[in-house]
Amino acid sequence: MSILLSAKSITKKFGGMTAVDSVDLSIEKGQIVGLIGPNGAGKTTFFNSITGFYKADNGKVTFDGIDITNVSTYQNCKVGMARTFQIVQPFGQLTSLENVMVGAFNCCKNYARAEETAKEMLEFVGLEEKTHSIVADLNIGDQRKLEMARALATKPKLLLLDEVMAGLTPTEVENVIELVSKIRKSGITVLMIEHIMAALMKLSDKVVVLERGLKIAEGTPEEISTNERVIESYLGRAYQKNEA
Amino acid sequence: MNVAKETKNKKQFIIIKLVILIILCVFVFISPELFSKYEMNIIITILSMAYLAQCWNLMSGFTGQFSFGHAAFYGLGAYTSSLLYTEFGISPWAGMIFGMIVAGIVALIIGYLSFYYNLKGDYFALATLAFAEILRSIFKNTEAFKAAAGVSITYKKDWTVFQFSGKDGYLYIIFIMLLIITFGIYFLKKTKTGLYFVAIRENEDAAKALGINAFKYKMIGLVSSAMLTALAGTFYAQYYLYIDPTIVFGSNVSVNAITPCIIGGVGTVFGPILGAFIIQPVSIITNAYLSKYIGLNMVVYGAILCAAIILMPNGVIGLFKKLKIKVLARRQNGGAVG
Amino acid sequence: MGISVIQSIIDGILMGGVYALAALGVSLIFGVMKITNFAHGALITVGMYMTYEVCTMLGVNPYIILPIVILAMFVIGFIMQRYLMNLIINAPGHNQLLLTLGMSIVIHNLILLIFSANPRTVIVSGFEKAIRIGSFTINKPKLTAFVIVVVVAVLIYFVLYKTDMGKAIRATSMQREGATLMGINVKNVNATAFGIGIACAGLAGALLTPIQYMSPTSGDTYQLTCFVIAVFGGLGNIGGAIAAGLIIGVVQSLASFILGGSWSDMIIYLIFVLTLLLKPTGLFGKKGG
Repeated sequence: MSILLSAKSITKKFGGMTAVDSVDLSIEKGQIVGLIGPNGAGKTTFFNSITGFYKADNGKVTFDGIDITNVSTYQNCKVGMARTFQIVQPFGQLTSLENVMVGAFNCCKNYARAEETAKEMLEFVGLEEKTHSIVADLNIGDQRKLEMARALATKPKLLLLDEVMAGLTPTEVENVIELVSKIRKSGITVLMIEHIMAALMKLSDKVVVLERGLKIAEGTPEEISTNERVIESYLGRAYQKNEA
Repeated sequence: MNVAKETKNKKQFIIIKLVILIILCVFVFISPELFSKYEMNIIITILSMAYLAQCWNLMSGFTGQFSFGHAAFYGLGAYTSSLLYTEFGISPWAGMIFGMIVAGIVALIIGYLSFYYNLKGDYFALATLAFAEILRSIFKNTEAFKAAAGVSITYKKDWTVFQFSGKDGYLYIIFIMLLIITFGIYFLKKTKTGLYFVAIRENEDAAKALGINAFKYKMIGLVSSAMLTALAGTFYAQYYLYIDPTIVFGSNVSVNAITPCIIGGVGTVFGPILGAFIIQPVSIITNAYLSKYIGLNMVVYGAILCAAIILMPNGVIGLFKKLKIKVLARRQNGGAVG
Repeated sequence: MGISVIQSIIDGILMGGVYALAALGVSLIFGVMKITNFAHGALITVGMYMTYEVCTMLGVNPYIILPIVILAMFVIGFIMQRYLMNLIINAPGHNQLLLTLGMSIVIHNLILLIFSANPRTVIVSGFEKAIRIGSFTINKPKLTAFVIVVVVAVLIYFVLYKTDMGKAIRATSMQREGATLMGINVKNVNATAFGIGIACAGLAGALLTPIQYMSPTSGDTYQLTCFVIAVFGGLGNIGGAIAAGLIIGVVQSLASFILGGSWSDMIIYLIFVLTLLLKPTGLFGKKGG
């Protein structure tokens, strides 16, 4: 399997505080990688540092063979990385269709074609009903799906999801789990930050754990859920499978 | 609604719009016969205000970068064409193009500095204001630009130097200018650039994450707005035949560019035009009947601006849209209850 | 030559004090409410004309009625914020900017309407002759203004750091949402802070009355100057506004002396642009811009 994203020694400091400390992360094509850690561990900062939102103080990022360290955000997208945000960032006054079209224009100039792509994406995530609704009127579950559709419309190779399931009902969470599977089946690699453990463990091929900016563990969901260090800092004893 | 009916409705809609447009053009064409010179003057000032406001709307309404210094481009247009004419005999028709180029270059500089250093919101507005004041200061103090005395253009009934004997020529020109920019904005909304503009306005970070080079598009918005504003400056110079630094670089120009948009609806296609047709007549009427109270018409102007911001922040058009939604919702609910 | 330069500097410091006072108002308002007050210059003019009117009516020295002007301007500011600007407190930033712009148009033209455009000033008896120290001339109204500004600055320091309202104001400026959660009546804090800011503007205007001729459009010049100083000193930073005021006052004075009056404005605008581009948080920068 070939490596799609390789981030080495990524470090980001804010004043005296080191939010991300020399983190290595590599993702193979077609994988779903989960990124977990307690609040403040540096997960979103890590995302921001490899997508051009922050300038990493140190480290190197290679994507599909190209060095994209500290490239600007929009160039990141052009190269094939798309992301969603922890707090949804919709284009409030536009309709769902228009929102997704903004993403679709990443790959084409033609208005009609972008519109078609956008409609396909809305269907893909299950939002056809809301095609012409103003985003401000959608509920949180739909807004998250919309953000995913919008990111997908840019035809990314890697999709970064930042807590897409936060604040959703159990049914909505199931929905999103199916959606992420569907995304992987369509050939897109996924890196996801999540707090909903069951969902993340179910989906991920590999899990990386951060704590206070440091990577403290990496492995399969089984390995991580039985890792003493991880359990100690984050999961709590109740999650341990087969307590011997 | 089935597709066939939808397309038929769309076609009907387009035909209706075209008919309205043709009627409008005919009306404007025969206006000189219908109105007195005084009335024509009023129409021309309204249309020029609408045009200036549309130029501002193109940038500030669509990309969301509020400029408080549009007077800079207006003045540059006015001075470039006027000085080229009075000093070198170049016809203002050509001078107009040079004015656009000068304004475009200055806009490139202002834009590059501002957007490179990531100036946003209030800070960007203040910066544009400062740039306009800098230009006003430069023109006021430089003898080569005639300083505070200003530039006077000799009256010549000659259309080749952009002067017309009656009001007709001016009316047709400003009408065509307004038509072109309004059409431009109307069609811009249906393009990638137009949508990108709005995306930047609504959420610049999200826009960047979707592959939009925000810097590039903000520059496009600023420079095109600047170049079109310069034309308004030239038009003013040719209509009134006198300009000075305070008249064309003064803050009243920048305010006049903004107010109609606020009243009509920022970021809409027809808002600025509607706004101009509301605010100018009020101003003129106040002036006509209460002219002995100097300053009263501006008090009214300012009060209307304040009222518009508080009561209808999305302008008259925004108000209509809200009403439309309310009516539709009531109809739906009314139907369900029975 | 050297003497004229020092004279320039002295004048610059004295005037700088008055500008600093006005800029302090701008900074305070921005710090607490994140509003750029475009009506500040207009309100300085209100202070000027109010002082002129009351002085002429009562036939007294402008310095005697300062407390009245301060109180009146505070009330005007409080009411303006509480009942007008508060209406759109949750609207996008540029709407608030535009509202203050609209207010400035109304205020400027109301003054024009009421007082007409004739330039006016107030001559303070006993202040006609300037003080001479060596080869330097110190203009009495300017000196008095400076002294009063220092006193007021100290007073404001006390209010902000030693009173409950002051603490509430500082808390709100640091953390708006947190302040509400702490039981602070943010509405009153906003209105009070705005009132203080406007009182500063009005007082600055009052102090300028015997120094120069006023006209309804005086406000325009001061508007931009206040802003330059407030931004230069760091929006929200009171001490910074004062320091910046003195610096800019001197710069303007020297520029006027070396380049001539009309070009001195340009220098101010250039400083402004450079500050916005290179260090928008100002020389003594507080929070990010």
